[in-house]
Amino acid sequence: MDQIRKSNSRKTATELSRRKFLTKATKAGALLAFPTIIPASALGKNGSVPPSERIVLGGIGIGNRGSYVLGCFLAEEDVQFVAICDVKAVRRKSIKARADSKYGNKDCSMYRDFRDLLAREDIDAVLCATGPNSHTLVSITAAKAGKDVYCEKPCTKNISQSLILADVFRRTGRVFQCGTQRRSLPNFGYAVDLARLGRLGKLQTVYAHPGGLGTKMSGWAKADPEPDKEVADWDMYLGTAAWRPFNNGLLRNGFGFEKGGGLTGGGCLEWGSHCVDLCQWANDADDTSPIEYEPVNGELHARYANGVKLVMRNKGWMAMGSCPVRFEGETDWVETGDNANMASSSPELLLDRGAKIGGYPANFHVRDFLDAVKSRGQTRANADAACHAHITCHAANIALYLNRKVHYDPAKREFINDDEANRFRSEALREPWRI
Amino acid sequence: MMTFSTPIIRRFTFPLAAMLLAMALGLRPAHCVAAAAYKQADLIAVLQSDSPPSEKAITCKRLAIYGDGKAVPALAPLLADIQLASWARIALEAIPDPAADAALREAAGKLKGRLLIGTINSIGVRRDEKAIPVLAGKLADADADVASAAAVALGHIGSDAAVKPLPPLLTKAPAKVRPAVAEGCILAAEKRLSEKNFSEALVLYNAVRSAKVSKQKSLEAIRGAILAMQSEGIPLLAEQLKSKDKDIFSIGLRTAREIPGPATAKALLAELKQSDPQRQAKLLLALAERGDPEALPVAIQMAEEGEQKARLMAVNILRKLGNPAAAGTLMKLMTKDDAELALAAKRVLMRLPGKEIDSAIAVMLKDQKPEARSQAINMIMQRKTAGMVPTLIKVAQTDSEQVRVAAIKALGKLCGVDQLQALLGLLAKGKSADDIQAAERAVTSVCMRSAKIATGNVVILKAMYGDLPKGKKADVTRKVLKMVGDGKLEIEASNNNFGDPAPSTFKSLQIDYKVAGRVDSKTAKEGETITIAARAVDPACTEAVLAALPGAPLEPKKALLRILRAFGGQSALKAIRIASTDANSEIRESALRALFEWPSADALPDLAKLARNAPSETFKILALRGYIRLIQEQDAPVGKKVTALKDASSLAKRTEEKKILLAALGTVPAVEALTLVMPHLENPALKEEAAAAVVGIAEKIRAPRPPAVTEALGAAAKATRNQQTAKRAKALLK
Repeated sequence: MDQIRKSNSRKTATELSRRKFLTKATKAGALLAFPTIIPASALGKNGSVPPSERIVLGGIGIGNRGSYVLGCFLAEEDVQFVAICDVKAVRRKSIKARADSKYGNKDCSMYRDFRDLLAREDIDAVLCATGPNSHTLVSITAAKAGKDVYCEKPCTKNISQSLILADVFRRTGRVFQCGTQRRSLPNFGYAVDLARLGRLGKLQTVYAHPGGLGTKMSGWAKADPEPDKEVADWDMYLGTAAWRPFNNGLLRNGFGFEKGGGLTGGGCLEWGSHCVDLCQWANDADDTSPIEYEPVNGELHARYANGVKLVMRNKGWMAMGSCPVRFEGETDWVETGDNANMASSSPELLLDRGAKIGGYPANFHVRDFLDAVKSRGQTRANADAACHAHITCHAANIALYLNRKVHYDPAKREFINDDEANRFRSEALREPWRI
Repeated sequence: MMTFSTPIIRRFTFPLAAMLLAMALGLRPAHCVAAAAYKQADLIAVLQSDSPPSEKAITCKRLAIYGDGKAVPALAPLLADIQLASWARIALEAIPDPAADAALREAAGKLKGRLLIGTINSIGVRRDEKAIPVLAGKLADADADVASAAAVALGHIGSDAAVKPLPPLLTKAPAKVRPAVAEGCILAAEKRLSEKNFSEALVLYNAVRSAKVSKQKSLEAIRGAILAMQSEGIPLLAEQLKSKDKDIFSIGLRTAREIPGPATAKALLAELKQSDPQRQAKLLLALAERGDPEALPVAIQMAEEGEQKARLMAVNILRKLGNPAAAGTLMKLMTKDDAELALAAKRVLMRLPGKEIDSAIAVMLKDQKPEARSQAINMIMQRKTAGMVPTLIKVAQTDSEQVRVAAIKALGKLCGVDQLQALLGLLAKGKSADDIQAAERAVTSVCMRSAKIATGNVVILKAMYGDLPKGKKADVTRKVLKMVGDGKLEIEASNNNFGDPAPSTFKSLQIDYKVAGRVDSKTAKEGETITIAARAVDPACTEAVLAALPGAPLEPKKALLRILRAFGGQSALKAIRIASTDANSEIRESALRALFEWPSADALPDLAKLARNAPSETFKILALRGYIRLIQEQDAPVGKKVTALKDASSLAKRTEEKKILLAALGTVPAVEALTLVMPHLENPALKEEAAAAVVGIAEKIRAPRPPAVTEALGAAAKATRNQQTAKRAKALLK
């Protein structure tokens, strides 16, 4: 908690200036990167890729979602998947069998402790698809071990973790891609372009579907017989979450376990980390967050310093599939979602929308990450962009939990004159973990 | 997911427990009252009671928000509790009171192993200066993990006193502890860097650089050293950029993105000139992401002279740079045979701002190839370059049909009403059917776009209020009808107006309506207002089209008649009537077809007449269909509608038109309408449509319904084989 306050207070004009410049560079990478910045072919992707040009990949926590994303990685010719780490033996074996089958060998190594995988010097990058409980810890530990990271969302459990994540990836020079794959899909990118290029007139309101606005907290369930740690390592599964006895339900529900962490979390981070992130992007706000948040009639209304309003709402959407967003300017609006349909007040605005790709595939996003690993450029969903999108979701959750308006100062990294809200920004990690 | 055993639930002893249970179960509603009601004394009492660990755990979380120094004595003992230590630290890390620091320090002197590590970590997060001696003492702990935690915690604290013991340990500490010592040094150096204390930061970074640490830590130190040296760090940066080591080169690229100024750009450029193509790409990208103008000429040169792959990469970098000076290059690439490259260039060009781009596009308009000129026109249209309208009007009269059509389409998007005459001129001079069709659409588009709000002749078709579209809702058509009948055209979506058909949901109001023959639908969220209005074409448009009509050649004249049909209105109708008697049979046919599709009830007398006397059977049928359509859409008393439908009934000879008629009758809430429907219940070809009409009529007549309605419903229920119709009929009969 204090870390946030103190780190802010020591910011100087020079620091801000350098940060500002860095932000500009970061945004140039993330915002104007459609399509792929450097063709992979130019960097040795296509055709027969020599081993020296392959990205050696490890997977950490590969369940349902991770299995899909891993498939996107395996489909890329310049990826060599060599190791799987999971707290569950059945998953380790399943992924190893898949990798060995693809490569026709027995080389995929299995690990129960992700630190052992990260200690391998031959691994360049990791796919982190554990439950949200461990995303921050694994990502930061991987960066400190010199690995680039593709991490599923939500990436952090609170505001403090979001800030530390961005700091660590800046400090280590590692590449980070948040698994908000909608940043790499044409319909969302095109809608964002319309907003950013002024084709809608001056931007007024951005709308995000948060996938629920309920706040939840994690608790302590009844004790079930604990399996051998080689079968399911409960201690590793708990990770940074406060201790509680083994419980089968908690183990099964990996994605829901401690999602959001702390006293708040849940729905707003579920789709919010996608839709709010797109709204941030549309508002050229990858380096900041709204300054006020207020629950209003089942919605969450927020306002950026530039006057643009952010509305998180579950209802009132057109038939655009899941994760819809809507951007309204002074003269026009555009709305789109996962079925890749697009609607606008002026159909001619959509003339150049390009390919229609529904079903929110992650392969484009994975490719963007791999290209950045090679070029050392910025990914579309880099750590800074992910940091501020997550902060927006966390601050919204805090306002929802407190059921009142809160004011946030993005520069000072704190809620203004609000000790109650400020205490939600951070949460102690279970021993022995630190980030 | 989370379940409590029954004994645990029984042990709750005060109201707080119920809320704690709900919280633990994840049952908290989104907008429940904030938990400000928690009293610290109650929470402390839980910790000091024999409550089970699960309750104490949740209580620690609550104290993180609502606790102060008074809670610390209850929390401190839990630091030694293997189950609850992590929960207690959640509270102790958050409580601002110095008592929390004191408790953590005291525990650090007593604990061992993981519990000690957790406590040290919390001290680091709180940056407790008073804990420096304790932490320094732990640097030599036999447990390498404890010593490592202490090193990182000292780095977090970051003061001179805290960091002092660390640099010597970069060489002296056991190998297992050294990475943490390096991390501590770098954390402290980062603190100094942000405080503009560059010299001290550099000392720490250099200490790490010169030590035997992991490569990653060394890279972090290199980056930090470059930043700490400021302008003098450029040679060090250049050194990294020259390195053959991939990781060192990479940290150079990433660090270059953090240093503003031309010196960095110069270093990148210098290295770029002597690198292989793959490194050139990475260096150019770094320049572009920095926004360095130096990247522009390099990218342009690469786009113009490079190999195909390099060109594509350069185009994408031009996109990043967003500099209009690249316009000429991009225009050239757009005309290349490489489709991928041409499309990429076009997309970049479309995004670039500035008059330079417009000028470049204007040059492209003079290209010899029609494809290039068409592309230029499309770009003008998408960029909404209104200043190009005069040029486009000229281009729309060139030899290439492809170019003419593209230009006319663009004019349809860009022109205003004041430029309508020019468009009508292009229509009159249309050289091909495609020209004329494009001009017809362009004129219609311009006029419709400039249409103004019109009120009057409002017909409410349907109004629904509730949790739209799939939740609970109510049909509020009658209510809206009454409001509009009372002269109210602004309708608020609110429970005050329509009750609450879907409690606890955020409702919407949807109104389908028609104004001056034009159908529209609007939806408003609760609290918002719908203004019932329709757009009517600017009379100036109608006048311009009417003026162009007499002198127009045959095909353009037919197009003008279709345009007038789209406009509607009295003066347009008058012109259509005159044209329907024109000497030219094609003109007459076009005029009659316009009448058959006329948008408003003004044409009802014409259609009634034509349904009887049109020059062919086909036209009679088309006239009758238009007649029936307008009868139901007109804003007229029910009796008048029934009379007109009765008239139409006498003209409907074929089954197809009778079905249309029955559908129209089903919208009229009058017993008299039933008398027109009932005979068809016995016709096998029409009984389903008739039954549906009976039910439709009955649903619109308020209970208690006349016996004739009940009788008709019974007959309809008996006649129909459609389950839905039968169900509706039976529901009305109950």
